[in-house]
Amino acid sequence: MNKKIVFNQDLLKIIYVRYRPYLIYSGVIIICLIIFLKVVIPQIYDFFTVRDEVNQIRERINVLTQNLNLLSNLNNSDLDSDLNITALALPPEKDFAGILNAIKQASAKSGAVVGDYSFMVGEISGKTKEIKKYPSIEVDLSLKNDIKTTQNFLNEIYKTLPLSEVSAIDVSGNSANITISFYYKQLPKMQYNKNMTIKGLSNQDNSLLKDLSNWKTSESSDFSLAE
Amino acid sequence: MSENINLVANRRDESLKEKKSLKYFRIIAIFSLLSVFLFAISLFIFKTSLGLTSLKKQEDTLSANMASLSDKTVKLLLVQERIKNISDALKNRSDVNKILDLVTKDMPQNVSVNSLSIGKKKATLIVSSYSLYDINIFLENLQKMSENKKIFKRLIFDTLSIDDKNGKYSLGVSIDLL
Repeated sequence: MNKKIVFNQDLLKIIYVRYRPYLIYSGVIIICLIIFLKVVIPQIYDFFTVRDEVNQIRERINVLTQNLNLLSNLNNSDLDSDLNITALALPPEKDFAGILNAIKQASAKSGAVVGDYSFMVGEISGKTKEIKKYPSIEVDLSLKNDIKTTQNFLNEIYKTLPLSEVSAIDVSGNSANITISFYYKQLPKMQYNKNMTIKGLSNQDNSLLKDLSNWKTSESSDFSLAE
Repeated sequence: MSENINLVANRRDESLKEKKSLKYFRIIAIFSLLSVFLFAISLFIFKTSLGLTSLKKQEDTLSANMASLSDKTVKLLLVQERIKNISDALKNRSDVNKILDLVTKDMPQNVSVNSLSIGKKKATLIVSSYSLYDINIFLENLQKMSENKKIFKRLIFDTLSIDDKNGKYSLGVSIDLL
């Protein structure tokens, strides 16, 4: 027999009435599945992202708290003094007055008689001669003393600010020609970001600062950040 | 008609099967509903317990506090930068004084320096004395320093001469520096 099924409203009604509980439960299961795939799973990913973000923020907070504690305990005037000493030792620009002062102090302390001297300044602007990665100003000095006084002068100039390096010396009889390079270095642009841990000065740094402040001459001029 | 045909029993079996499958459907539906609900609630609770908002607020407050100390921060960083460069400079600067000290330190009293020249890699020295013995002591001292190889790399004995007029000996020495 060849029966033909015709879908009409009555048949659909019969099917609905017959399978209504199944249809309702299937609908619920399908909706739950869709919610799980489209809402819950992305929320799980989102949870892990938030958790990572929270961990990063916690690390940043730790760093910030440490930095704040460190900076709060620092004395502003001590910092000014440290900055002043270090800037005198390694000036941010060509410090002719400082150089003349250092030569004057060293000769006074050692008893050396300074004769002629000349600056090898190079270009006033732009790059200048660099000795071991630091730009420097060379000064040629002639001393009219015996070798012992010359030695004393060199010892004094090594312990006078700004820092210098004796690159050549020529002693002959009671006169000496000395070439001294005075260092300077431009201040870099300081970039601070909140992930950066700021460390305090170590014992070694403090000991160096102490040495430098002992080498500071009374006539050294003060450095200010605004410069 | 066959007597084995029992239509009532078959219908009961079917009804039982239907009830059973309907029961499974119901259980699965309720389980799905509960699972989705529990997952959503748990995720919400976990996310809230992480405290992202409060941490962000705390970070903002700390950042604002840090901003008020920016002057100190810059000063400290500059001091550290200068100290690093100064340490490097002090470590690497050639110590002409030290060479001068070493050369003259153990010099016998009767020996005097006529000329001394110290460059970056080389030093030349001319000393004189009336006593050849003192010149020999001075040379031996230099040799010992050269053997230690702390500052001297090589010692070259250049000249030894005598001035006939006053009987003074002169010694010329070249030193290769480390």
